[in-house]
Amino acid sequence: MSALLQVRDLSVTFPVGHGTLQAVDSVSFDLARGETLGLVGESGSGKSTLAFALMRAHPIASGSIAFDGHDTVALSGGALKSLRRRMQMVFQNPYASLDPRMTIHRILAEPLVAHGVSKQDHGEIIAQMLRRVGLSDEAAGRYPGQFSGGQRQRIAIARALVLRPEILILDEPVSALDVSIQAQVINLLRDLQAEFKIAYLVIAHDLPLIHQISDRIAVLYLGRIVETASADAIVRQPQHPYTAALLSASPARDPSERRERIVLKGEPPSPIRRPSGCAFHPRCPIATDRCTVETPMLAEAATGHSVACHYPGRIKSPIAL
Amino acid sequence: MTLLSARNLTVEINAVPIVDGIDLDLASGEALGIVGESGSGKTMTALALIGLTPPAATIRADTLTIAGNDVLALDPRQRRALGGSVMSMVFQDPMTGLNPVRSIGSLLIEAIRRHQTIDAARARQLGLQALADVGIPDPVARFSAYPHELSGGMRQRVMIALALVNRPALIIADEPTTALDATIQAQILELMRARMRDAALILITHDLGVAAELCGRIAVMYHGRIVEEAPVADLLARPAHPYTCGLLTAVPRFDPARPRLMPIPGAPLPASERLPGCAFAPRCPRARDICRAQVPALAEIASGRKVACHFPEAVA
Repeated sequence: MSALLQVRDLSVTFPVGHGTLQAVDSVSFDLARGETLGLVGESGSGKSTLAFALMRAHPIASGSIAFDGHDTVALSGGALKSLRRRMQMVFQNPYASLDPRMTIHRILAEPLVAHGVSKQDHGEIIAQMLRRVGLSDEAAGRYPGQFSGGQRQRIAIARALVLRPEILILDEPVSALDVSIQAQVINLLRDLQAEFKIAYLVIAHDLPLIHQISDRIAVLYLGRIVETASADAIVRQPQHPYTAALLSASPARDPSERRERIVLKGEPPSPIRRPSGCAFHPRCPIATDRCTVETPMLAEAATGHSVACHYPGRIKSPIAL
Repeated sequence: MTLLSARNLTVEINAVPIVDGIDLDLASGEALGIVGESGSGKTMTALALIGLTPPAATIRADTLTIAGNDVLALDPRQRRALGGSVMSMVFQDPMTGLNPVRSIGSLLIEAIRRHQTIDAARARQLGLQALADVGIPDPVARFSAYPHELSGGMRQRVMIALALVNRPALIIADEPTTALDATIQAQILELMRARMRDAALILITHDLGVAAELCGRIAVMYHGRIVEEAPVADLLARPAHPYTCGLLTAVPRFDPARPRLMPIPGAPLPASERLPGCAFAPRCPRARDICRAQVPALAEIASGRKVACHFPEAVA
């Protein structure tokens, strides 16, 4: 399986006051064709910044992004535009991401116009895509305000798919939706992936949800990947204490799932004042003096399972799988 | 001892019943979760109880008593006096729940002195203790801080300190952890569990998991009504209403087989739309003619278990 997207040592910085804020710090990962990678992290972990950097919507400080073997960091103009045709994004809030004054037809036609698809084909492409996401053809003549949250997210997905991209970046795609609607959209995303063989990069905070849809999961803390493995391995054998704490923090949904909660001290530190050594050490239940001075590197603990921790696997999974 | 009793509580906005004739009973020290999706009427129920409904809202009830007070018979001044002393509220977003131009300390001192006749120095002492009790490091320094200078988690701790400071008999919390990150949510849930032991709690949430952690009993709301009410373990293990069943099977759980999720089809009926029958019938896999013709009443089907459904699941 050759990687469709190959990210190496990617860093994104922002100027703040007299210094710089390192929002994404030497992140590396691969995404294969048709695969789903889940990115988990809390506010300030850099997960959304990473998504924007991949879309080339944020300047990149250093590192490389290769799409289908071609470096995208140096792209501009027409070449950047054709990259974006192959890589699209769906945002969290379908109330904010659709222009309320545009008809659904215009919303879906916009990417087609931007990429020079012949106007006489628009009607057919749009009608097909609307049906494919579970809406009727008549939706094309209506406005976003006439649709529920779940329907709007279907429209946003349809817009992202009209150009048949190879990668779809989904930033919290269902967290703005009601519980009873979330499952509809998740099932739709799974069906579309099977049909179009799209690779998904899904950003979410809900671990059961990420586990449900991802082949692999990467856990981000303060701009760095602290653990990455197959979705099942992350849940069964988390190696990083932060991953274990995140797993234990998701509220159990039935009594048989009751688990011991690992309550972390304090709050995620600001990336402006990154703690020395392992950035997680001030909150870590098993940190030692070594962790306060020596930064752990991401290293393979088992095949396909990497972790950045001096004491991997010390905290067992709170989840019985 | 009964702390709160509501019969046929209705909240209307522009003649649309957002809360449509619900009954609530709460004993002292009890924790009740009110679970529902957007538009279910759960937040309006909370606002009606605490007395903070928007001006356009009309509240009616056959009875509404809280700690022995006939709430609807009180004048506005007496009604306000209940807030903060007899009951208090924790909101979802601590940034909008806290006055941004007042320091944390002055908010606490004001809250304390409104309900307790003590001098400022003693109030300051109580305020500092309240911050320490909710796990705020360095309370003296935080006392002069403004809400925007604190993180979301710290602001929510301040809101909980404010809610607890006059030792109310009832705390109403509306999605208290929804806006917070996972690890901070875990901290706040632990804090609420530890600190709210003495007071009764009404927890408004969309998350059955959160309700299950803090509450002994859960009422599920749909389209302005309570459709099921049961002790938490019973509700999760053997839900009786098809909507509750649907909520439980729609959420992903850790399962290596990754079974296809089972969504509830369709979308909730808008509050402004009324049906002659059950509001859930258009989405219900078990709906029959009677469901479309007649609203099912909330009826007791087993000890402590109530459901409003013509064809509930067997729970015995």
